[in-house]
Amino acid sequence: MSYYTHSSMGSSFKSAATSAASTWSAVSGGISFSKKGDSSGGVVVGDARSDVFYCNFADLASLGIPTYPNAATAIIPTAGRYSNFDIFVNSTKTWGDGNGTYLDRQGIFTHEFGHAAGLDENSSLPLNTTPDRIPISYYQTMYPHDTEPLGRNITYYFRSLEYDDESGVKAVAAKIK
Amino acid sequence: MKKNILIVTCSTLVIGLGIGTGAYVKLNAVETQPIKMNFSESKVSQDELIKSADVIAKYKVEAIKERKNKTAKTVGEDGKEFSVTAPTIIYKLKPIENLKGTKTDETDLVMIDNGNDFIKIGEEYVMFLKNNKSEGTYTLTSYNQGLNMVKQKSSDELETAITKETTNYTDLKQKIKELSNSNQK
Repeated sequence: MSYYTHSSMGSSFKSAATSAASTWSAVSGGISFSKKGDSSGGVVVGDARSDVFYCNFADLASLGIPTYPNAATAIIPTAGRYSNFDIFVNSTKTWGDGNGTYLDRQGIFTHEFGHAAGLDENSSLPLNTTPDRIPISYYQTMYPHDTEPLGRNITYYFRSLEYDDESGVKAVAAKIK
Repeated sequence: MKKNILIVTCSTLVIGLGIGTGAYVKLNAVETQPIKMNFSESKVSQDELIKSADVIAKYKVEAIKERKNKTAKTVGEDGKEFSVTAPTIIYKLKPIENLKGTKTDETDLVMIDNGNDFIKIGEEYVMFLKNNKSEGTYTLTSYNQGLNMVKQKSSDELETAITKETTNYTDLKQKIKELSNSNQK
């Protein structure tokens, strides 16, 4: 699947998006993403161009976009399948690069590209145990929240895929074929 | 193994969405193509959810009023303005019980058009809404926590439409009243 990084994003967001897409592409037998270049101008959700872009979700309330989310992914089905998607990141959130109190750009993008690859949220707890016994690095990329049940930020650890993430995307790829 | 099957099941649904594109209802002669949206949200406290909403009410979803492509302006990191166009769906809601905010006879809820599988016509929901004052419509504050289905009309149990977490309606009403009283002091 090809995509464009939009001019609304600065270099940190663009770089994080590219790294996140590469993480999924590296899964053998999974879904591969390739960056076609940079896009600019208006974004049309549902057109043939897959854009990754930065915007203020409050500005998009009249389109039905809630103000709370950190990011969103739209999948656009055409002719029984989908090959296009758009990823939005919310400018009102606090973003950074690394394991801090902010949202990790690359981690959140890895989660969003997982949706673009056809995966839904996966709220299962790793190791089938209680949150106090789970190292935060074990949370799968497609975990539905940016914090684990004890409130610790896990977005940095979304950068690396866990077993469930990889097996899920392989299953999607097999289904398509 | 169980987890994987669940994921594939969901993903299959995503792929299958396109199969019915020819059957979508056309209203006002505007054809939009439904999309599937995934929103990644932080989980917020009930207090914060209540405070951030302009309106909280129990509604009955009466009908789909309109489907159309809409455009809004936003700003990038570089400070430059650009437009975003998306397919939207507007639901007509009938208020059953108002918990916070202005009472109206009818409310228009605008959402990204994701087909008809998200909100069910005829069902009752407790919604946390933001007012789009310029056009008189409302938007959910949160997809994960702002849309709560009334599980049984006689019961007090609410369930979030996406994450399937339960809340007690009477407790929610009490919490809203407490927060309202503390704001007035």
